[in-house]
Amino acid sequence: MGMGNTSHDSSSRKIDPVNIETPYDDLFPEVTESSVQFYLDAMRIYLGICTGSVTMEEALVAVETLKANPEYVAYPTNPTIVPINETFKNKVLENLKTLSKFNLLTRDSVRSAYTFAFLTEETPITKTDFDVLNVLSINPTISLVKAAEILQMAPRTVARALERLRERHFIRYSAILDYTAFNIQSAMLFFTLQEDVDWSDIEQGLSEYEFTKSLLKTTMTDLGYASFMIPNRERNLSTFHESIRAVSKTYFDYSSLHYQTGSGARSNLSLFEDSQWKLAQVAKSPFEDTTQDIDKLPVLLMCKGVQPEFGEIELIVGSQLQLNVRAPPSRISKNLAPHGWDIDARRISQVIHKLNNRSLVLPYVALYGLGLSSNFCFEIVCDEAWRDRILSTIVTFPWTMYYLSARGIIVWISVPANHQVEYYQVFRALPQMSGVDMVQPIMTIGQLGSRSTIDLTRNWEYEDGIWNVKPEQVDLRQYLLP
Amino acid sequence: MGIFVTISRSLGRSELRLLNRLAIDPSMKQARLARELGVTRSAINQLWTKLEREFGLAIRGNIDYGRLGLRLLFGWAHGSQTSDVLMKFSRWLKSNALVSRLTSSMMSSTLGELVYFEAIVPLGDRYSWFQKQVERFKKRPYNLNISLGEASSISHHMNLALFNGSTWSFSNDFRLLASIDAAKGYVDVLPSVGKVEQSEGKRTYLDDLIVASAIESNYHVTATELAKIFTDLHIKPSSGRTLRRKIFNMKTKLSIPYADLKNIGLPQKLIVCIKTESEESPFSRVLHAQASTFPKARVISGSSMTVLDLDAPKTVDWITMSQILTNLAGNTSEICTFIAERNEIGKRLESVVPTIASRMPSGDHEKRR
Repeated sequence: MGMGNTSHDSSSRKIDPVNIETPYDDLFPEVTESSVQFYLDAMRIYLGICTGSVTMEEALVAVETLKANPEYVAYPTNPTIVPINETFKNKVLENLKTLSKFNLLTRDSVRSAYTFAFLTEETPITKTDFDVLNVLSINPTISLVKAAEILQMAPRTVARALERLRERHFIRYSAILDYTAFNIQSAMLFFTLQEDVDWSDIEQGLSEYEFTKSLLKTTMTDLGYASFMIPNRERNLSTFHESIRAVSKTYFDYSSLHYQTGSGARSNLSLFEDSQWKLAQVAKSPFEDTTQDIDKLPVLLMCKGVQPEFGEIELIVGSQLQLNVRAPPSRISKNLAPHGWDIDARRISQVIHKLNNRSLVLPYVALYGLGLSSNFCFEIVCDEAWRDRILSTIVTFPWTMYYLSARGIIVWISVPANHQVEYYQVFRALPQMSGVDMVQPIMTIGQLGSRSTIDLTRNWEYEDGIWNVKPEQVDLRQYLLP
Repeated sequence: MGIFVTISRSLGRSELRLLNRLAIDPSMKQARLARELGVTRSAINQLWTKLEREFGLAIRGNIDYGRLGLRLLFGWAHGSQTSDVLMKFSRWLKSNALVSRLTSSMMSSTLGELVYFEAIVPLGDRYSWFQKQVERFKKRPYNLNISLGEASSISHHMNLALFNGSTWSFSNDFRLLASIDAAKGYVDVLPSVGKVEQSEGKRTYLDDLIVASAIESNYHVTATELAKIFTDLHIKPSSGRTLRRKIFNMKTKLSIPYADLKNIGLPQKLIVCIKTESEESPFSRVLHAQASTFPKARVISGSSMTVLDLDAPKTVDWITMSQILTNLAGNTSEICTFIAERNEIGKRLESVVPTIASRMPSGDHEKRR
């Protein structure tokens, strides 16, 4: 994360850009580092989609080039999933002009030019759009007709509102998937580096490790995290665990590994009034209520462990629901085709039904816009009673996502900037409580993406509940020598 | 979004005109302002008095403390969430009369607490005593993580071009990052308006100290006002003519003016502390030069340490801004940023003078030159 000279390729040869033409080609500088070209290509693809000079299929092929770049794991960047709108397009153009005006061609500045273009700006939401959002936040997969019935609107009005919510307010309809059903264990490692350790070495090692799902470390806080997806829990977890322990000893001062046992996400739109967020009542006097009210606990997707009749196809369809839980089966079928999956819409519809029936997916609404610009992640190591108390508190916040483990709870929250201190204070009060061992924050400017399930599992084959991944493959020590 | 909370009322067009003129040249007196803005002297006087009353308008002096034989020591301390050592350190700072600034964190990039402090210390016994005391807190049993430095440059900035009288149009976006980032390439030729380098003066003369402290608080201090300050300190003032000459000398030799305003919709206090490995960090020079891109800022730097002290609208997203500054500082720097509570101590030289004077040998101010 340093300035400039942290590229992966320092030869002076010019790198060819991704093969996409846009009306703005003259704005793109020529560069010699592949990590810099990576973000320029991402902007090129986005502009190509916006202006219609490439089809979505061509764009998806171009994204494959991005995925081949090592930069992708550290900063998963996929311009095809960014909403297409004029505001973003103009900001990309403006930032490209700024780059050439100031002659900034370092990895950090070009990456910032890309990410800052998509930082959301506030646009007031209309009453109709908000009413639709409200219904969807309760049931993200509700049909247009049903929603229209509840809201007493025409289905067309609801459809248009949905479109605006997506484009103007960056609302996403997503889902959490129980990976354990497919014999995959999700794990999260929080760490701080030892004093003499260089982050770029660790970043490279973790990026190359093929089970890394996401990575987050900023120079702002000492704490960083990496999340992993480990196939064949019973066979492979002990090797994985052992290698994390050995690597931690060499590189980390602090290392804390969480194995997912459950998760969920929740928004609280009742705090949104007259285009402004009110402060959640509990933030004013957090954890005062000593009696636990079971009703206040949110719906959770608990990890149920291997479900024999759920295999590769179910996982792939489930991973598409994570991208858009409202996507019709025909669209999912079309999206999967370029990845080599030929599954017809009827089959997809059946799989979705099966996943829902077994409660292996939990749909949720992701609020990226609506003025929720401050994002925090907290690692909380605590006992079970406190985990429940924390859960029942945070679900009253504007938007929150939580990941449970036997060690405690990991929380992501999105709050408006003018309440950031108040919400932060809630967590700051926690370490004094008996039953809470540790609270550590990470702050980010945006929710970062991660390597998609489909990319992670691309080379794994699945047969009778077992993936063809051997224990020696999940040994992190091959990438980070202890 | 809470931006108007502390602004008592919007500023009018004529008030803004006056302030913008002052921001360009803070040394302007009322008569010249009237002439340049094409209005009567009494109109300017009325506006000025109103701005003084409602928005604390003051023209202050940014002082070269070094030349007065003083040093501005500054630093920050980290405390863990569970220990009370930081509280003890804060208590010690609070009890120390030379401490001119103490600000605690309300929210920081680590969950622990931070305090930022400044002290105006005369060279000699008191200087080494202060440093020793800080050292004591660094060692066992306290083991407090403290960074302490000596200021070599101080600058003040206010960018009224971003203010329309009621709201600030400051946004922390890519442009901010790009303009600061680009400036790094031109660090040697960047003009630093409003920056005062601290000299290496060795001796402290009490009457110089008094004159400088008066100028620091009010750059346009008159001989009569200055005479009263001397009398209040039980020192017989020199003649009006001598005082006028002293004021003139001090203004030209060791201070530059800057305009100060309060209650203008910048209630959020952000402090960014940067420690670099190398002694001469180009980033601190960039900050001195480019801090004028922020609404209201003060930059203090010494060898390997820099502090950016910002007043910002409440809507400014601190995390984004910290992220930008962290990226700019580069990975060789150690950076901590925090949202601060109101200053627990926020004093000027004038409040430190009596303490320094009390320890000076009597009649020291008469023995000079």
